[in-house]
Amino acid sequence: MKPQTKTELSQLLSSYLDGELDEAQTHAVETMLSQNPDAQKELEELSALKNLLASKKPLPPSYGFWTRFSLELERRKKEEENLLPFPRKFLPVVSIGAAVVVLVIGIVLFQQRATLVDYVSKQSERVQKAVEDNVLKGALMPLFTHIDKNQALQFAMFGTLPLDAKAGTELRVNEDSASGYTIDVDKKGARKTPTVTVQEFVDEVQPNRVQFQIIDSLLDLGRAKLEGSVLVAEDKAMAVNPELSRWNRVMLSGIAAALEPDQRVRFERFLQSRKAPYMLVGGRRGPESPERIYHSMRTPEGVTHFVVISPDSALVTRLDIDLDSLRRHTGGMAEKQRTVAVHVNSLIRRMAEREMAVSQQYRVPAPRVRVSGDSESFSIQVSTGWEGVPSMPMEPWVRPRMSEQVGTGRRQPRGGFNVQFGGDDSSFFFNLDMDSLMVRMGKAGNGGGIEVFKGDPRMGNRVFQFDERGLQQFLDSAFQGKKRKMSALDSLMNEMDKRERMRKEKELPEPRR
Amino acid sequence: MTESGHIKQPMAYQTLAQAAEAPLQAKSDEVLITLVHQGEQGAYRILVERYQERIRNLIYSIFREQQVVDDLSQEVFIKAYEALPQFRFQSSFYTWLYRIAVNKSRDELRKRKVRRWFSLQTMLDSGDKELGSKIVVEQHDNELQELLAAGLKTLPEKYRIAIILKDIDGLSYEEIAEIMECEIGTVKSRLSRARAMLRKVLEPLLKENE
Repeated sequence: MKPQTKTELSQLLSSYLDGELDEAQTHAVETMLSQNPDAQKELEELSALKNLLASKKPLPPSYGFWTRFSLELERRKKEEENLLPFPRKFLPVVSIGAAVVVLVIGIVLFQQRATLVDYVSKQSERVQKAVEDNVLKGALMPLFTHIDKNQALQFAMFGTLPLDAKAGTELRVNEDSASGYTIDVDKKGARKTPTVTVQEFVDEVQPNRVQFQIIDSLLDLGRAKLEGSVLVAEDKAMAVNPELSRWNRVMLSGIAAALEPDQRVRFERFLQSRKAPYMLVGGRRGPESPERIYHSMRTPEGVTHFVVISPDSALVTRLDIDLDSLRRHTGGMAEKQRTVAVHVNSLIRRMAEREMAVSQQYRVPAPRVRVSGDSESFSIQVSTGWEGVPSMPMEPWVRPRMSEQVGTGRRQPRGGFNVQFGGDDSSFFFNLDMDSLMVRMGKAGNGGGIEVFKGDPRMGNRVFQFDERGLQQFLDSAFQGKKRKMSALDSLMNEMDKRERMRKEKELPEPRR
Repeated sequence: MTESGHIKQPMAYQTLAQAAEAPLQAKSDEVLITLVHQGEQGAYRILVERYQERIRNLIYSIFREQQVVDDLSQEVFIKAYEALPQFRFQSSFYTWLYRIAVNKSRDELRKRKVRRWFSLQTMLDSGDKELGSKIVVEQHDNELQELLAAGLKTLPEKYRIAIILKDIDGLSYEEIAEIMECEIGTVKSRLSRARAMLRKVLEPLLKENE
């Protein structure tokens, strides 16, 4: 038996030292040791180590260990007894009893499951009804009452509708094939949506009389749809029909379908020149008939799903709204319009005032609708495929123009993540959209600091700024931390040097006197 | 039932019958455990007093911190007391107790590791302390023991516990395997590795002592 590696040799010597080898192995090791001075040396060192460990002084005995132990044991026993509302000896009986009760309840529930499901659904309906009654109590008014055909065309081309010219708020629908549709209500900021009129469209595209009649009817129908899609319950809540997010595309497809090929080229040029975020695409099967599109816009009337948003809740609910009677009821449109605008601004402000609503994105009961609040806006995101938004009945003739999105300031659906940094005396928070984050670092002489923008910095939608003073504090604290770490390392190095010196002094021979 | 029709008593009962008259201190671990099983609380005191110093020293060897020794030892005996009704005499009481002590120590070491992960300050402090204990040794009488302890502390937990159980507590490979819940081969390799590592750390010291 000859060890092949150093590790094997060490293991063999270790077992030999412990007397754990059998007679043959012991003999083999002893023979090997007599021929191998290195192994002999290693064994001596291992033996010295073993003796050193064996000579370890024991701890002084602990007097009163039992007393302390028994007191602790007693305390724990009492604590445990106190946790139980009955003597501990009954624990097994009580456990078995509880298990039997749970089992019986389970069986009863299983047998009564039909009644139970019925009860739960009735309860949830009652809850929904209560919310609807409370949230939508009071005057329910359409947000848009005076949409003209120019605005309807503008909505079709850009997906935007002005809410309140004074406050600069607008409603904007936005679509992304990957994650669905979004409906945003916020301030326009520095964005400028180009204005278009039906007259400009007619001049450019030159539809004939029949075509114009079809287009006019489409715009008219679109106008009615828009008016019935966003409703406001004073400043308590807003109800939005998520279908709104696709009306503009449907309207645009309808217009395109009514045109002849050369007119469609002119229409595409018109869209391009106005920097509309959509472009016409040639379908494989040719255009749908405008009648069918017209029909598809008309059909889903009556009970519709609405997303109802209030400052602290959001839910999807069915609302049966008779728009005509609502219109008759509200009367005095100009005045009402102003009231509605005030309510919407107040609603957005109230959403912003709530810390939770600002930073939190919460899912409403229907699984594919997400509502998120912002400091000056809110956004409803509707995933494709949700039953509230039926898929396009026809092959879409319009798709988003990816290269140019100027004009409407289209926002991508919210993805990304939130980041929060906290310190002893301050903290800051910002939301990062993965595809539109911009970090700008300025020179110290030029105001200094770090700025983080969403999208284009020219729009001034700065989300985070670190000024020079803040930056200095940050650097100072980082420097202090490093310094602390360095001093700990320094003291360690000093100790090592000291020991090295002591060792060398020991090794040097005593100077002869 | 035996062939003769008598109910076979467990070994402990037979010993108990024989040793019924002897004082508690003179009784074997097995008899004492049987007495505890029968509700004789005083018997557990004898067991604690019999092993408290061995357990305290084992824990001290692992941690080298006097302040944790009594608390952890207390935890070990409480755990043993709670688990004693399930003790089935399949191993000796002291290997069973050692296993509890080793597991408690491992838990504590793990907890410390987690705490270090989560607290930068603690990491810096204990890191300094640990490094310091490896290097800074005061010049006093038991410098040798201090160096040895510092060397032991550099070993990873599984090697440290193996070498302590073997060379300080003098247990056999079988007992160590039982306590550490591993194979005898693993004990062999852990011991060999632990010794090699310790030899490397304490090389100058061992040369001095030769």
